[in-house]
Amino acid sequence: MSAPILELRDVQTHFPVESGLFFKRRTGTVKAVDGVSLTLAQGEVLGLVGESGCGKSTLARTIMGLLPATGGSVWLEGKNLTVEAATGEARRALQMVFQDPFASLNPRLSVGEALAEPLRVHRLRPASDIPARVAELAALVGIPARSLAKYPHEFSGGQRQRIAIARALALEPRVIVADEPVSALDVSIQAQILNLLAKLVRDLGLSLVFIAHDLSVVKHLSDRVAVMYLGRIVELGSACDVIERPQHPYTRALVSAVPRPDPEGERARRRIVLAGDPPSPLDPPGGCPFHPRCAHAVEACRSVVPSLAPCAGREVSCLRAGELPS
Amino acid sequence: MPLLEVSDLCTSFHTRGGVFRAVDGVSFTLARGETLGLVGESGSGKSVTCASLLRLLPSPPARIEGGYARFDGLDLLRATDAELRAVRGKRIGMIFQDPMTSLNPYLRISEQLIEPLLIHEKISRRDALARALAMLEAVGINDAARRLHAYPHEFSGGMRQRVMIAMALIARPELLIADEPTTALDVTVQAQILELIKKLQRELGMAVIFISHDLGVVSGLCDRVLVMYAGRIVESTGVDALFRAPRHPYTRALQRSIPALQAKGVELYTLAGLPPDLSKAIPGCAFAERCEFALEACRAGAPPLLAECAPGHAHACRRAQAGEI
Repeated sequence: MSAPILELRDVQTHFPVESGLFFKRRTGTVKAVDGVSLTLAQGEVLGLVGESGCGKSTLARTIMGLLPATGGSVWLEGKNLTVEAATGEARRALQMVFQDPFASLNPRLSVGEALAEPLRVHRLRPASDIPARVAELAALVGIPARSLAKYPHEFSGGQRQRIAIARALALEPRVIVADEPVSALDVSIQAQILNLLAKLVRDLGLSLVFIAHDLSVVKHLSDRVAVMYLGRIVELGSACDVIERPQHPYTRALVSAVPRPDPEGERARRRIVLAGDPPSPLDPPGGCPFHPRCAHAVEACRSVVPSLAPCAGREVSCLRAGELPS
Repeated sequence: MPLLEVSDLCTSFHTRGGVFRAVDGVSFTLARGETLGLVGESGSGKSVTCASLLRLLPSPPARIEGGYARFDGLDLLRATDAELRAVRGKRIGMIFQDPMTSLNPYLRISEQLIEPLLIHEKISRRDALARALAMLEAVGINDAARRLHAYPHEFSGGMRQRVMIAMALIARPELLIADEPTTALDVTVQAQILELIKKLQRELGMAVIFISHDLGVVSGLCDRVLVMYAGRIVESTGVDALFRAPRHPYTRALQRSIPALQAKGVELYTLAGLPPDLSKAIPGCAFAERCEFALEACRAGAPPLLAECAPGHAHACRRAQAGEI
């Protein structure tokens, strides 16, 4: 395999927790992302799934440099982005699409201006070429050229998300990080955006880190899937393997909790209902972070922190991986 | 006699921008113990239908223009305030979508839980608190005795939604209206809440109207489903037929656009255009503009009516009714 286009090496994003009004003391640490290593190949779609608070959005922001990594490093095309020298120029090939297209577009800029802004700032093209490039971008995502003078509030949610994607594409990125780009949309609109993302990956050779909590959406679009729990990756493998034949007990519970549009199957199905809520990342349990909710936990799970190891064609972070009933 | 019989319900919003016909002639019945799903996209009128039943819409701008909704003989749309108060929270419980904004942040959970009991039943505060505690345990809140007197901000989103469910169920209602009760929650918490609603439904024998845009959730929970589009019911059927043999082009389009029902990686079906502007009169079928089967005749005349195509299965598409699709 060729060298990965994006590589994360043991990335950590920790937040200090302070108390006291005048004399702030550090009383703890939230380990939002705690030792994540991943690679992304050219043209690959990597799905990142997990429940709220598992650190998937924090990881996305850390990759983008919107949050500083407190440990480890992020490499884009062989360049380390986590050193201070890596500024705009190095990051240009890495762009982001956010969840809420109502909040991520500037309401005071017309769509044409919003698309032209990154081109102007980065001086990628002579000013005279900008209008042509803006029209090209709009065409790429299916926004009619006559709408370029309109403002974001005049568009529906799905169209706004297209504009946000066009803006991310303006600087000809090699990698796009999309944080729940379809979660706020209705199913029929969601299908349009999923088709658009698949087309862009295919036609432009983009690589995509795709974050979502809907497993069927992730499976549809992704080549590989990483499942996160409390800041760590617990399972990583091909999308079909992980979602159809999950190995980690958490992935199994997650997959079994997803309601499927199949009434007969739903009635016959045995669901693994997890007790309680995910533990607070402020005070994570010792040993395997999943052990308090795991039906298969043994004594060793309380003290030994598991790491990703090969199992059934993918990587699983579970001491008992391989010995669990299938 | 059905527990609830809604006939030709019409609700519009009178605003400066015009009159928006949010619900336009909705009729359905609900038997005791039955679970009815209400699905459709944002703006299709699902929530307004249910809020109209309990008369929870602010008026102005909302106005219920016509129809009736008989709940065990009482027409909810014409009931006096006193009659309504006797029904709301006692015989009909409601769970709202957003647990973050539906609880009063100033009051302890215990106060909010026992409020319906103190109002509707001759019960001492002490007995009410005992019932509240039992209800919190029933909805799966750990350490309920300590949590009973906590404030809403001390609870996570999933726990607040469980508190909302406890509040809706504490007076043992005959009908529960749940408006997207799990949309804001993670799937593992959603699974807990759905199991809980099913269990309580078995125990209390209550009927449920379940609003959702997630066909997966509906498939596991509901007996019968109404599909709404632009304020009207376009298909009404048992849950099995909805997935095995959908008839209305809109229902079919929805199913072809869901990744879970398609092979991995195939191009998903997409609906062109947008739902119609409800402030303008829509001649003919409201879905015609986006329908791949629409003919000129579909865009004219009166809106198509629901007609039965099999026992318990009705839809409002003239071409499908004529056997042309």
